Amino acid sequence: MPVKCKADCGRNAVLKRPKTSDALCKDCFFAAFEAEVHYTIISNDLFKKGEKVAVAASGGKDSTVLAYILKLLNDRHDYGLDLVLLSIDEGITGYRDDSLETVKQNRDDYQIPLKILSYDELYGWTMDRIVEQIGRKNNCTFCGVFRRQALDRGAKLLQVDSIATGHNADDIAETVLMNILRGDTARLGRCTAIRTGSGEDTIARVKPLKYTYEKEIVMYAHYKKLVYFSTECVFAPNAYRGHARAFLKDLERVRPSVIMDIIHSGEQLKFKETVKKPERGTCGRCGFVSSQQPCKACILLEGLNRGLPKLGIGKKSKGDRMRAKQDQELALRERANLVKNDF
Amino acid sequence: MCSVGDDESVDDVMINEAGEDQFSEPIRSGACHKCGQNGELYKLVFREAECKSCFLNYVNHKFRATVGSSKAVPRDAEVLVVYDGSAESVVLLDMLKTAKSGSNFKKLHCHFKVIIVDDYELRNKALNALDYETYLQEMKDTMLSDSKTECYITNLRSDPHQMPYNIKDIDHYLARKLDDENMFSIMYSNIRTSTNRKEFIKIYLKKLLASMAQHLKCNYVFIPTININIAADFLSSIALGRGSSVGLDVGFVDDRLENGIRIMRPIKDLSVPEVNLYLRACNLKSCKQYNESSPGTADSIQGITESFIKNLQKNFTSTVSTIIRTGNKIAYNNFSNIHDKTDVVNQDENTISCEICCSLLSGESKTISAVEFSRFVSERGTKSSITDSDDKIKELSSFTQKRKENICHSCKNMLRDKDILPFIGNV
Repeated sequence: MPVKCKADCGRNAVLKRPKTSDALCKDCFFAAFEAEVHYTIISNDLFKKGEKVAVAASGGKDSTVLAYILKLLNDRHDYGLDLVLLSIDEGITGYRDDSLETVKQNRDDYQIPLKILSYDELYGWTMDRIVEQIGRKNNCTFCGVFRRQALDRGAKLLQVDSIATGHNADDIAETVLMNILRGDTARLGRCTAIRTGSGEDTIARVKPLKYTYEKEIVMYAHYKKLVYFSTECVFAPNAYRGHARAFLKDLERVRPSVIMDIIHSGEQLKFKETVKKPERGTCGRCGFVSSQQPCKACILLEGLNRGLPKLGIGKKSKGDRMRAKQDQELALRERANLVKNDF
Repeated sequence: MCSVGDDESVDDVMINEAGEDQFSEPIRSGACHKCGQNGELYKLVFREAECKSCFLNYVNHKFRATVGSSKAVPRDAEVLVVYDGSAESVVLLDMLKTAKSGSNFKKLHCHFKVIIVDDYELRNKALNALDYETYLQEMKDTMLSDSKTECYITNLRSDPHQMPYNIKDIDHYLARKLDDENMFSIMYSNIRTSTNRKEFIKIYLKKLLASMAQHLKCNYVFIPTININIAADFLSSIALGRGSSVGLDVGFVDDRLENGIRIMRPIKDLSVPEVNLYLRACNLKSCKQYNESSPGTADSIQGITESFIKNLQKNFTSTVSTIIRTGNKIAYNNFSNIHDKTDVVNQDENTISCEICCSLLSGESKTISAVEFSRFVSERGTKSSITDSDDKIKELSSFTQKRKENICHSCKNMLRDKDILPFIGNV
């Protein structure tokens, strides 16, 4: 016997919401989903009227749903936002080139302007070439660090007030677990924040889908027939994050509310006063936000340009040794050249 | 949005992939790296192989350093030591005896009594099929072998108001009335989810121990928890939404109980290999062994967490220590100040404890509001969409911030299992 919609609308339910275990029909699910994102936006004061907001668009389900729903809610509730899609082309053949086609489709469908920035034009490197240098291990480090900064560069270029990213509840819960496993208290302290980097010289990032389950995003995209790109990156990560992801999925199977419980826990964590906190500043080389000098992106880029791709991977002291060794070798070669010229 | 790689490389942090050494034999023969003595050597990961005497010095020092550096156990303190027959509890008891012995210059100045918590029937599914009488007899023999130590026994299913039995009167213990305990077992098995069963019994055990300590006039309770248990407890607590009180789950002292009894973890820095090698070095054995292949580990948050940590530890040897180090950086409230506040009227919002687990109630949480809002809009369906103005939605959701009772978020989750309600009077 079919299950009736929890909202007493008389229709049959088509899905069971993982967050609340309520069975809903398609229309009531759409209404509830949209109301929740709207509630998240207004209760956290994510945007102000008249702001220009860049939607970080990869063409995947999260960013597609985010772009669609922000456009919808902006029109429906008169947020007065000037939306723009911002995509980063990492230069991954067979993955990003295809997903960018989806973003272009979204641009046409939702009538939102699109700006694409590539790693090649920003850093002079594509991920394909980086992977040739570094191999399949640690490549996600380059991609993540460069993407984060590329979004900042794009936002500055577009003169936006904030960047909206498609991080969902599952992503945030996973990051909480990951940061505990890595012992990264600095990130653990800020990874649950719905708004980050809202200082005077930085562009804020907001997560309107913070309380939205990944499963619901997929269902929403599916029932709304949204066009999104669902292929996994060809440099499929063997990342440590995968362990946290698998663990979270196991937990969710036993208790679906675990995702929100982990986020709640993460928000409640307070650290001892003796724990060192990173100070947010700007990189002396590139001028973008960083808590270290120079920023991670600059170190990674330096490593690539020096032919020492592992320079930014691992401990700083290890990197310093690699740099000193190379400088010493170069100096020796230089001296040898001078001697040769003398003769 | 791809979130892989949003964080820096794992190489940046203290995650060491297991090297060849991890799987090398823990017992070897040769010359001790420290004293040069030839004989049987004990090898731990990240340590050179050492002789029995050097190894025992090392682990005993670890124990004394944990107790000493905490400065939480005053001179001549009355301590109740929990003994459940597990390898950890055997090691704890032996270390305490060593620390109290006259020859040791770092003598531990405290008086201790031992409490055996008989959990055989409630947890027998997780144990090897040892005969109950043999199990109790072994515990009794171990205790009576040291005539100086007072030892008591209670059952995990006991009413906390029930006085514990002296181990010498074990016949009285065996002849006690079992009606209430049997009822407890039936109600316990009726709790639907394994997660809630484990969560409930953890809280209940803590309160039972505090109550036994009070009966025996002890202010401190030493529990045999080692680093892997703490790491698993920490992650489970996070997954259960107990973030605000998680610092007490990983620290040396847990002082949140209402009667002011402090539960302490003196061997919290010991690892499983250290415990096993200690047993071998001192020729000790545990009275029970948990059956690792027992069913039910994958049906609860706690079980999944425990097996996840164990598996990860095999490949990344710093997993447990990194989790513990993260936990040690988390701040927690000092309950002793709060317990002193007898004037309930003047208690501020930040010092109200959960009626069930005694943790401080967390403040306003937008995440919990978001969940409540989800429930609310699910019931309203299409009516929740366009017609509500922003103010209306805010007003409708504000009920989520009103605290109806003094129960924390995680305990509320537990109470959704209606079968747990009959126990609430007990805890």
